Amino acid sequence: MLSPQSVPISFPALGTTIAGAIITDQSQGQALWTDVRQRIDRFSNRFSRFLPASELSQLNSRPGAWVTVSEEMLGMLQAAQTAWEQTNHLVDPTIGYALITAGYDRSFEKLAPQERRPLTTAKMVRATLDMIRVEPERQRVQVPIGVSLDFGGIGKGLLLDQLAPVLDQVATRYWLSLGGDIIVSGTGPDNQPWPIGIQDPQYPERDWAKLVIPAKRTAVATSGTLKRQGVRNGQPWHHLIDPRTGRPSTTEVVSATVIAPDGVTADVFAKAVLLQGAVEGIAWAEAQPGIEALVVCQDGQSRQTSGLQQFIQMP
Amino acid sequence: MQPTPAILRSVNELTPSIIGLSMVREDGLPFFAFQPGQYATISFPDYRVLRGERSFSIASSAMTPTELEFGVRIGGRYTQHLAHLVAGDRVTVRGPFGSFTLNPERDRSVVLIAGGIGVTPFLSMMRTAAAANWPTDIHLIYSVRSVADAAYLAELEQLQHTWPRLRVVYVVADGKIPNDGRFVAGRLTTDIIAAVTGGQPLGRSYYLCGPPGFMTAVTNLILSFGIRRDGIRRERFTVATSAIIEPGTLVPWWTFAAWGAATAIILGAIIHLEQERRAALLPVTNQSTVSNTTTTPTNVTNTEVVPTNVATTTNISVTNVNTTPITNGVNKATTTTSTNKPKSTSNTTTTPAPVPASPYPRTGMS
Repeated sequence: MLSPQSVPISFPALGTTIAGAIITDQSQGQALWTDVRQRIDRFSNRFSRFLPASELSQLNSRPGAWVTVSEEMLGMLQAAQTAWEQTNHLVDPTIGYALITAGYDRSFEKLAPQERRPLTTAKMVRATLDMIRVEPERQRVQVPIGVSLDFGGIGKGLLLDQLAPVLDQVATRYWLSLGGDIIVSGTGPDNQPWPIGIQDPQYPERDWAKLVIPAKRTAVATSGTLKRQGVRNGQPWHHLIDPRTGRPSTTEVVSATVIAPDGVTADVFAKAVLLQGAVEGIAWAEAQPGIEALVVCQDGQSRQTSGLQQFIQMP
Repeated sequence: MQPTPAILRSVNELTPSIIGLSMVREDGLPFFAFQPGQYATISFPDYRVLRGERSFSIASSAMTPTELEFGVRIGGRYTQHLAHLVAGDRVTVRGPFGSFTLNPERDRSVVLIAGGIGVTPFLSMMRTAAAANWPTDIHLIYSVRSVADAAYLAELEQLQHTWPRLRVVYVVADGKIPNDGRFVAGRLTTDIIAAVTGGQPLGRSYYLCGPPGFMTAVTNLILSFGIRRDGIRRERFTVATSAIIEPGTLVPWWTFAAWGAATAIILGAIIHLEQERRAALLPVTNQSTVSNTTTTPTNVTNTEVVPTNVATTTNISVTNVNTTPITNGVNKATTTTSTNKPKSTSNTTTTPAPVPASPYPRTGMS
C-alpha cells in the first residue's frame, strides 16, 4: 500500500502559470495531472481568442451568420449569461460596437439596394451580451457584425469548476491554481487547511495576507489593475475595461479578492467588486449569499466583508 | 487603391507603451486580401491631428480578413494621440502595401528576429502560419527591453504551445526574467542565434524587423555566419516624425525658427564629426546608428528607437545562452558557458517547460 503524499504540478498554459498539489499516491497524482493538462489544452483550443483555429475564433470570424457551435460553447455562453445577470452587466464577454439600425444586423451585401442607407443614419452602440443570439435547441449562435466574444473574464473560473470533479475522483485534499484563480479542498500534508496567499498588489513577490479556509471545497479569485498598467499622457491606465464606459476603470481599488463556493462565481465577482470600487463593491458583495470579499486600494488601505475576518491572517 | 471605411472595434493596452487597434468594415465584409507581413495605411477622420495617413504593419491573421489588427507603440506626438481613440471611432484603411512577406513554398525554415514593436508583421505571419498549418518551421527571437515590454507575450506562449512548428525565445535587456529557459537575459548575440537554430544557422531564411540601429547590428551578426546578404529580408521601423500639419492649420512662427536652428545644429555636428574622423584617420566602425540606408519607403511610423539590444561585435559570448529550450543539445556554435539552469532535451517536444512548483496556492493578478 503506497502512502499518500503531496504530488505537486506546475506548468505554463492559458497565458499564465498553472499550479497545484494533491494528497494521493505518486502514480495516481501524476496520472491525474496529465489528465488535467490535457483538459486544459482542450479548453484552450476551444475558447482561446488568440488561436485562429479555436472554435471561438471561428465564431468571431463569421459575424452576422448563424454558426453551429458545440455543447461546450453553449455551456460557456450560458455561464456568461448568468454572470452578466448576477453582476448587473458588469462582467460582459462582448467586445466592440454594433450597428443597430434596422437592416444592419445583416451582412451589407444581403441588403436590397434601397435598404443600403448611409452609415450616418445607423446608430453605433456598445456591444452587450444580449446582442448575441443563441438558439440552444438548434445549437447555433449569431454574433452581430462589429461584435466579438472574449471569455477571458470567466473562462478560468468555469474551467476550475470543470476540473474540480476530476480531482474529486482521485482525492479530496488538493488545490489547483489557474494563474491565481484557485480552488482548494480539504487539508494539506500537515492536516491543516491549505493556506492561500493573497498577492501584495504593490510587491507581487510578497503575500499581502493569507487566507485559511477550513475544510470544505472553496474557490478564491483575485482581480487587479496593477499587473498590466502604466501612465499614458499623464493618465493612469490598466487593462480592466469598465463595460459601462468602454474605458479602463477608474476605481481606487487595485486588487479585489473574492471567496465563493465555485470558480466562476469567484472569478466573476472579483471583477464586479473591483469595477464598483471599494465602498460600493464591498457593500454589494456583502449582500451576495455565500460570498466574502476583500479589496486593497491604491493608498494601501483595505476594506472587506464582515465574514472575511474569520479566514484572514495578516503577516 | 480606394480607402475602406471601417470602425475601430477595440483599443487594447498590450503593454504600458503599446496599444492594439482592431477594426472591422462598416458593412461587415472582409477587408482586402493581404499577405502576412504587409502593411496598410490608416487615418482617423474624426480627429484633426490623425487625419493624415500613416503606415502600420498588419498584425492580424490573413485567414481572418473581416478584422484588421495593428500594434502601435506610443512614442511620438502622432502616436500619443492614438491613445485617445476609443472603440466606435471611424477609421479609413488603405492597402495592402509592401513585399516583406513570408512564402511558405519558399521558406521552409525561417528565423524571425524582432526588435520591440517590430514583432507586429511577424505576428501576422505566425498567426496565419498556425491557422493554415503552413509546412514552415518558425523560430522567433523577440528582443525587448524588459519582460513587461513584450507585447503579445500570452498569445505567443499559446501559439507555440498549440502549433509545434513555432518556437519563441525572448531576449530581455533589463530587469528580471522568468526562470523557465525561454527567456535570455542580456543582448542578442551570434551565440543566441546559433542556439536557436540548433547550431545550424545556414540554410534558413532570416527576417528582421525593428528600429534602424537594431537592424544594422542584427544584420552584422547574421552576416558573420557567412550567410549572404540577400538571404536576409528586412523591414525597417522608423521613429515617428511630428504630426502631419493639416491644411488650414496655423503654424506658430517659432516652428520655422526651431526647424532652421535644428537643421543648422545637425549639419554642423555632422561636419564637425566628419572633420574629426578624417583628422584622426580612423576606420569607421560598424556602430553607425540611424543614418544608414534610407532608400526603402518608410513603413511603420509608430516606433520610438529603443536602445539597441544587440551585441555589435560577433565574438562576444553570453552566459546564459544555454537556458533556451530551443537548443537540442547540439549547439555547436555556443562558446563555453557557465550556467546551472537545466538544458532542454529536445526541440521537437510540444510539452512546455516546467516552472517551479509553489508550496501553497496564491491568488493574485494573473
